Amino acid sequence: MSVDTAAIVVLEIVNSITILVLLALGLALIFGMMRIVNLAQGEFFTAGAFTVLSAVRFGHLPLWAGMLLAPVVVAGIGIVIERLIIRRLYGRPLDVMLATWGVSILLIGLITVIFGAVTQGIPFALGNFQVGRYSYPEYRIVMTTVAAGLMLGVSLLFRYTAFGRRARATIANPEMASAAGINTPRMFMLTFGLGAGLAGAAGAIMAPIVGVVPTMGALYIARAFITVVVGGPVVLVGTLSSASALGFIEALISRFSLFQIETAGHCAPPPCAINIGGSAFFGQIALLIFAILLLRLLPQGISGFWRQRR
Amino acid sequence: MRRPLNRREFLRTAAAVGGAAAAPALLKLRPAWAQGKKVPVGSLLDKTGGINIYGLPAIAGTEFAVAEINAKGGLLGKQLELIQYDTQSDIANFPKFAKKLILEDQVAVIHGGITSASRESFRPVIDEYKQLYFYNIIYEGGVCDKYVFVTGETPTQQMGPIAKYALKKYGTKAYTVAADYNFGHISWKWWDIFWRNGGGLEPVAGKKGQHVGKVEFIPLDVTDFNATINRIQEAKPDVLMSFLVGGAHINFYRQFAAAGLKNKIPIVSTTFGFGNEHIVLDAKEVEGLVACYPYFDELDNAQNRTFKAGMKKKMGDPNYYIGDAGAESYNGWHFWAKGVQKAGSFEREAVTKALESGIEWDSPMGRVKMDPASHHTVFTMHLAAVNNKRGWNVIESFPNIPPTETMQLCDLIKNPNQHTQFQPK
Repeated sequence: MSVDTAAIVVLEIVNSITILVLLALGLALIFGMMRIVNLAQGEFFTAGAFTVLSAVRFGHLPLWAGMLLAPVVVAGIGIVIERLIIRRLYGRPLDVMLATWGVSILLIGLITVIFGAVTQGIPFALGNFQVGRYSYPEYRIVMTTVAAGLMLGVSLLFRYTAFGRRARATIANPEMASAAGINTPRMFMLTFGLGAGLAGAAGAIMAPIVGVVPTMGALYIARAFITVVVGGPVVLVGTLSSASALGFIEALISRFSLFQIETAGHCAPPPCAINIGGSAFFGQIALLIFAILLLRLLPQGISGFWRQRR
Repeated sequence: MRRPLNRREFLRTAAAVGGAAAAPALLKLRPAWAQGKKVPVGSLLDKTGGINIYGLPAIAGTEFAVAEINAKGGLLGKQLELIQYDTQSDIANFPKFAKKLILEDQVAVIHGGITSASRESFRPVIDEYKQLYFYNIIYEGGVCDKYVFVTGETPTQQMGPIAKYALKKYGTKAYTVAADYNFGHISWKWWDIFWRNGGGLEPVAGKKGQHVGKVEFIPLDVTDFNATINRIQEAKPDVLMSFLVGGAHINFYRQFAAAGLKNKIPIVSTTFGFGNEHIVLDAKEVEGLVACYPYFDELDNAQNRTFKAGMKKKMGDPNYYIGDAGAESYNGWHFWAKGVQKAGSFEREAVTKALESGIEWDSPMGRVKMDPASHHTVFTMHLAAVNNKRGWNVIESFPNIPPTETMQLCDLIKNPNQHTQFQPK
């Protein structure tokens, strides 16, 4: 393999990991920490993308301003939903699932009513750079930088601020936290809002490379859940390590053909063979198989396994 | 104590109950449109979900055509009652709603279906109930079915002109990205044949063309094309053929442009544009992309001027772009209406016979003709490139191109019991 191909493969792996981190980060707080199976998480992502679309198209704001606005707007939506619905259902996981599913359908409906069911796009103007024979879009690097920034920001927030300590205490033991004078309902609300806001940020950052359509959340929610579940109980480290493992496998299998199966039929040029691996299709399959294997071998997720070993 | 029924009483009661139960069933044998003032007609299109980039314009064309027919007094003195179901880009909905249209709504005709996967999912239902059906969209060709009429274009009509143009202008080394279902796979087989034969179905004597080369099949829900785009760069093709389909695949063109390849590797496509992708994307992302359709809004003829004005008014948008999907749905309904008028009946056999007499008319896409034997449409095709004004510039027009690949295999007048889809070997 030549140097430039090796470099491009590394970039592809980083890109796969980036997308998984972006998708999973918000859910890591809501599902990983708060144990809320939030089926509306995909729609928070959608809402972020539509915030950017509205800001650019109707508010005539620059793209970056729309992207800064998106997490704020979506965090607001998240907080309203927490106050109105989720709050009443803590400790009732099945009911929360049903309720957030309803919220998901409601949000898709609302967005469709406002923006129509059409696919829309947000063009962007960044260039590309040369890696040997390949040219690679600069925006992918921006995405990775933002994902790393968000990850670092969330980790610092929970580790070093008063808010973070209170939120962790609340989630670890709500009664004790409450007895210690922490306003626990407020902590739940803010953590949920933060998780929603992060999904909104992900939607905003990915909006320029994907089609913006009310049902787009469905394309991403499964991967978000898989990443968080495989990550296990140590939320941030777990999410990062599972995104890395899954993204690595996905990118590698998307790129390289593992083996060939000879077939009859039409092909150009003959003889006919199907490559196993080496396409986006096999990348997706590999990600799912690997996730299943990991969960079979490490039922507590990657970070759960580490925790046991310690 | 209850008195047991004697034999005579039992028979009388049984006859009454049986008769009452059978009466509606007997009535149902005669379709509703045989008596009523209105004739129910059905449409199955994806209003929501990833395929709605084609579904929405097709619905607009459908509603406009039916309203137009009704405004002119309907058909055979009866108004059409359009019954539409949103199939939600979900294959499972097609057979379900097709059965509902046939059994409950008792429609005279069904139009619709977009992806070939959806069409093949409910064509067995069409065949089982012997239902007249119109498929009004570009597809991979080969459907040969007595009950089905196709007003969309097929490989010969699109790939012939595209292959000729691309081989001459860009070179012989191609790369293909295709949607990973029957449409993409079959289209790619045809594309290889047209590429090898320099734009024709049969090899030219003394000339041996190159195989079309690498292909990558991509599932409809893939939204990130990073690896695919890098593989294309590795292959360094002279031209890229796209058989990509649906809302998620639109991202491919954007990501391709973002990688700086728009001016390095030209794209040709049989699918780009009929979902009005050139409106969603920016001119700087797709300007110059070449496609081949029988209809573009830019076509200048009297019928199209009326059609465009009417559609813009209906949609309430002076900049509305109709596109191929909208115009073909419109044509499908008018083909059927002309068949009904000629037959003087809504019955399937009579309408089929009328359509098999070779109906021709001046549509917004110019003169179109139903080929009697194959139930497919002969069009004037236009090769065109995306311009920088969210529209198309026609490069060259090819009058009266028949759907040869299907016509040479399919003769429904000779073999009226055929219900199949031919594929290239």
